[in-house]
Amino acid sequence: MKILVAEDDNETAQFVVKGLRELGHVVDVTGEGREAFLMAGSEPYDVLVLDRMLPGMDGLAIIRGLRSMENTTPALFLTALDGVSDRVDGLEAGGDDYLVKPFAFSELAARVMALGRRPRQTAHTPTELAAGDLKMDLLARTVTRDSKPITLQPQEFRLLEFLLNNAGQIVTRTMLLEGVWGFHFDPATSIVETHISRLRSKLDDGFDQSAIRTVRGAGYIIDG
Amino acid sequence: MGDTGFWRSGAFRTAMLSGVLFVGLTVVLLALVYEVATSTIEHQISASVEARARTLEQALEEDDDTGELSNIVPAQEELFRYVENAEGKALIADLVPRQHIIGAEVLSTEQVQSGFVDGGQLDDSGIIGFGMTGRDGGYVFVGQEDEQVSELREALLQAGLVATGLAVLLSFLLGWWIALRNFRRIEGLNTVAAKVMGGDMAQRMPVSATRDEIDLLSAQLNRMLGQLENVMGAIRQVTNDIAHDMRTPLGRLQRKLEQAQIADDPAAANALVDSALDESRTMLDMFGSMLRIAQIEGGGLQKHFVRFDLSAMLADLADTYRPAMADGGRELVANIQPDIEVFGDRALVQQLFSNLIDNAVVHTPRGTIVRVTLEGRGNDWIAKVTDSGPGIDPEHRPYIFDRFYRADASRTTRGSGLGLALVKAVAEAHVWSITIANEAGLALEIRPAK
Repeated sequence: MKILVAEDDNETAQFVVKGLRELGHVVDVTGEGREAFLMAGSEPYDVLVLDRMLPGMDGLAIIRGLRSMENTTPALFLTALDGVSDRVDGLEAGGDDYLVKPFAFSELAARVMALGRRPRQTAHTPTELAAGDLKMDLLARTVTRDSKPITLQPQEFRLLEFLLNNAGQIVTRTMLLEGVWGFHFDPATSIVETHISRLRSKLDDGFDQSAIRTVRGAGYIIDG
Repeated sequence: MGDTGFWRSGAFRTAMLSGVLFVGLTVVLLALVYEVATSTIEHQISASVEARARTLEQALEEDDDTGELSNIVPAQEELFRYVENAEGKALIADLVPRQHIIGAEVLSTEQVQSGFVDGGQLDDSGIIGFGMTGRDGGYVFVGQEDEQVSELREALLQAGLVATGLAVLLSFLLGWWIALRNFRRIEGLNTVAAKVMGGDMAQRMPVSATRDEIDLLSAQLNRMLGQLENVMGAIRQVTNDIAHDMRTPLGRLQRKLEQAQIADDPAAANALVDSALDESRTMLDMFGSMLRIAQIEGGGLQKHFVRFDLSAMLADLADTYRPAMADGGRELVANIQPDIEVFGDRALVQQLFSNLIDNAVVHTPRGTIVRVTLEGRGNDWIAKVTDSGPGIDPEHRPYIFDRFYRADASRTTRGSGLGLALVKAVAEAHVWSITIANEAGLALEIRPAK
């Protein structure tokens, strides 16, 4: 993927750029807001990684400008602001995801991948999701594995839907907390692990191979 | 007391101004009394001499015998008669006017000295007199010394001087006393303010029993100082807590990294680094929570408030927590009345109830039953998270919502000690009350504040 990283803190920028390049992405980097805006407007990027506070033009203004030019390149905000309303402001301006500093690189990588894979045109919402031998019918709200019906609780269904939407990508614990449960904090109770474990035991009942793979230190993945 | 400060004080100036006005008024009043009193007496004397003069004139018409006339108006001290018959012969002459004065006249001492012959008996005083010509010729004049008037004048003048002097003295003393009293009280406030600025937050302004405007001001300032003291205390407390609660994990972090540095076995070193990362994550979470609490307490959240279904949120939370709690040997029982809506910040309210459930999980043994209930109608609802655990000693109860407070300090439990502090901050931002119900375990109730 071709990624633009706009981050004025040199150390963070190098940390992000180095990591993304190691994953095989093409990465452009700038530390100035107006330059970031011009680059994002003139080059076709797959994902923008923008710091909220940039000299020259801040991240919110860049996204507002791009969106008003009907540029829909997915954007991830990096920010030191973890205010109650900061996330809302970022998403309202047209950002697609939000990551608070300091963050683990694996978290950033997973989110960038998820954004890059997101279909640009969502004109038709899919009625069916599939990965490997797993099939999910979103209208009938049924799940089958290798044609064997599996009964899921509503939250297990939501969890599997999120994983299938990101099939082939690592999904982190935090992404699940935000995407499935709407938690923007880390609860003391191990909610994610338990739900994954229950879902997994239902999906894997009678199969040799686990449908959901755990990537140590990073998250979960359903191979596409 | 700073001397210059006192003389320049507003109270002293006001007192002096009112003193001057008071004295001025006294002087005007005395002058009026003086004027009225003297003119009244002058009129009386004037009327009396006129009556005598007329009597003499009548008598002169009938008879111009000196003895007879003198009987009608006998000689008196301070009384001067002069009667002249038609031929110009003086019949009675206590003194002799140089000219015939006609009508009533008030004559000053100088006029008397120059206007009368034979002023031998005249004291150093003026005369009030009345003169008239007789119908058949002749001339009558009766005068009386105005000694009475001068005496009265003198007495009034003396009384006036004394009264004015007293007024000046009294108003100065009164002004000085009021000014001193006010100045001392303001000085008292100044002293307290200086002490507070010096760091002694326990100082309070003196309040007297009179409840005047300075007392009201002092009482209000005292309330403000009380608030400030609380806030300062809270800041000091939080600063101490941060210093204390952050040292421990930082110390552990450092120790782990040092051990990793000298570890021979790469696997052991990796494990230590992982553990150090966990430690740093915990600290970052604590900082995050503290910032969040501070932000919530700072206010201004209302602009993001929306109306949402609290019943649905709690039912979903129960489903979210139930499996993990079952795995930990605890049971979650939800009893949620549907369709109760609230106005608030969705994400924060969700965190509020998550924290309450987390709290019930972390601080209770296996086998505990955690109940989540919601009931009520309209804006009169009550949400409750109750556990059948050991509960909290009454002595700890007032503090469980304080930052970093842990009732079970001796026990090793997870958690930053910020969960319930955040709960309280969120509840207060929504104008909801949170109370500890008197039940066997820990039961926390949230409801709209009355």
